[in-house]
Amino acid sequence: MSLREKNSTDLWQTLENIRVAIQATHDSFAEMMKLTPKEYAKFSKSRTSPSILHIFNLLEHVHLSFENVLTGRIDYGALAASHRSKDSGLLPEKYQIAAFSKARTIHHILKYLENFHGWRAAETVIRHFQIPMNILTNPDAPINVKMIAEIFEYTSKYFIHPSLLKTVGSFSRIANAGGPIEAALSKHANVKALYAHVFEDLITRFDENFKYSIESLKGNILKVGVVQKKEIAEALGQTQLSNEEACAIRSGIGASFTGYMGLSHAHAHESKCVHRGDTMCLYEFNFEEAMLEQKTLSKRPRDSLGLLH
Amino acid sequence: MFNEKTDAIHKVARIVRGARKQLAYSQIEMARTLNISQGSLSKIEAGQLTLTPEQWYGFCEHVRISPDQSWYSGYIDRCTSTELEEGPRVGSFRIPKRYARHRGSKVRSVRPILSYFEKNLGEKKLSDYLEKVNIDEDFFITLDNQINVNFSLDLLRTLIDQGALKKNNISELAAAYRQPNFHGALASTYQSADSKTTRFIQLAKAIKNYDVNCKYQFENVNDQFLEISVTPNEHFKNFDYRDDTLQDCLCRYKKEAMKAFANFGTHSGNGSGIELQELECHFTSHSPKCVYRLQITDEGRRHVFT
Repeated sequence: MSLREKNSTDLWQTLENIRVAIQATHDSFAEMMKLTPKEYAKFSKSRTSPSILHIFNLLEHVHLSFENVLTGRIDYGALAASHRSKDSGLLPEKYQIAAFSKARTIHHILKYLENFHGWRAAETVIRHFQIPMNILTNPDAPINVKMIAEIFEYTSKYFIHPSLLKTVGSFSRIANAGGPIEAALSKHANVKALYAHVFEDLITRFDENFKYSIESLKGNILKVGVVQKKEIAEALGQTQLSNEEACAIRSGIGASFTGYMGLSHAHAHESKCVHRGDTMCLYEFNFEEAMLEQKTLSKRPRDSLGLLH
Repeated sequence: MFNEKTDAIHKVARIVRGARKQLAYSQIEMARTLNISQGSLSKIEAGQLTLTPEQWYGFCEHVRISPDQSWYSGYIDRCTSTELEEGPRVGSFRIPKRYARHRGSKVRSVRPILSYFEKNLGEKKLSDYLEKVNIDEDFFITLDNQINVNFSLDLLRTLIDQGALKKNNISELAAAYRQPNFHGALASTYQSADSKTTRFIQLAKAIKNYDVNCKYQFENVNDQFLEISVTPNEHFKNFDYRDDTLQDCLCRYKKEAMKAFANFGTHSGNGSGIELQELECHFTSHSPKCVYRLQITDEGRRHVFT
């Protein structure tokens, strides 16, 4: 949205909608913005733009980002719920439809942001997408793939350079430490068996939006095809369920699976992509290094979080 | 003394100035982007006027910085990890030849020294110094900007020559590592760490957001201690840090910085709750690396800077 598309009349309308959603009186709302009731009445009546500081003062009290307030893109139901109870809350309606993904992916990206961009960056994402506490505390909470794609796009816009998206994907190894994925994959003693387990079984339990198929497994190279499920795309009214950011992150996640065995990550390459006009996404994982390590360093102490490397 | 309002105006002014120069825009070009006159932009950059919320949002969108995070940190901070950079230009900033080769230090790691300089020798002397070495002060608004290690070394030499930095007050210089604002956006991460050990692990993960002059590596991590090695990278050898006073200063500074970081978020107490042993030293014994053993004696859970 460009500057010319928004004006202070729209902004005051959004502020009024927020006030109503959180059931604040004019006086208490003015106080949240650190305005006197008189100033607030004068500003809102004349539709004079408040200052940036007034908006950030308000954000101390409501679970929204600055951008939400400026663009007016707010789920007021979710806002009202979060204001009533900080511990439960409600996911914005648009992310509840066809919710066949798990919150785990969001936890992963938030953890990455917290580690490499600061807690404030993670908090901005939480506010911007109006993510409620129950989603933040339960990795198995259902969300839809639209939410994941939008979060990837947003973080790529403001925080994570596109060239680092694969690295963000690889970070899933660390983000999933101590969880059920680690428990399921760290038992493997064979890289090929691990990948077969991931793409023939495990992944269907965590991501029901796409069909994953092993196209070939020759030597050290595994090729995996990914096709979106038509019915989910239709339910969400989208032609594409993923975006380029999601595809890049998926490459990194796929490359990191060998890490659960304490081995080097595979090299990932997306040789076909729906965003480049192909009919499917095709990922190639080369795990030569991990295979060599598996043979020669079978007795190596595990340091799968990579602290010593 | 600034109040909240003037502080906010100056924060916006600084970020707008820094971002405009980073993009190598003229005031006319930036003013056009913000749909304001060049005269207004000039006043905004001087802190005499400020942006409306709509303009702040549009500005942040245009320069691709988070409107929220930039506001809270007061800096432009993308936390990009560092690769060695070469060359004399960053946007419209011109880096003098002496500081343009092997640029491996982020502004984030230089700011403690700049701040110490300002505190001890005064704002005017710092401005004069930067003018003398021909660097625009606004270069230091973007924490990801990079300069070479000569810049820090020259600052330290000047402080030593002027008598503002002595063996016994290096801990004051390093105290910045305790203070959240010096770490930019990363501060919130350290603030959320529930123990000193976790915080050190987080710092190690984020170290490339500070510099690539050295390689930092955990040599040993166990319940009793953390062992960290710091090995200067190949390009570091091109810099002249091998004089006795400076080497001693760098050695002490590194140790004091670690002790200060252990007490991140507190007003005082460099080194409390931590025992630091230097097992090897690159600066004083010509070992290829420094190795530190950190024994956390008090995890000091959740100190909050108030």
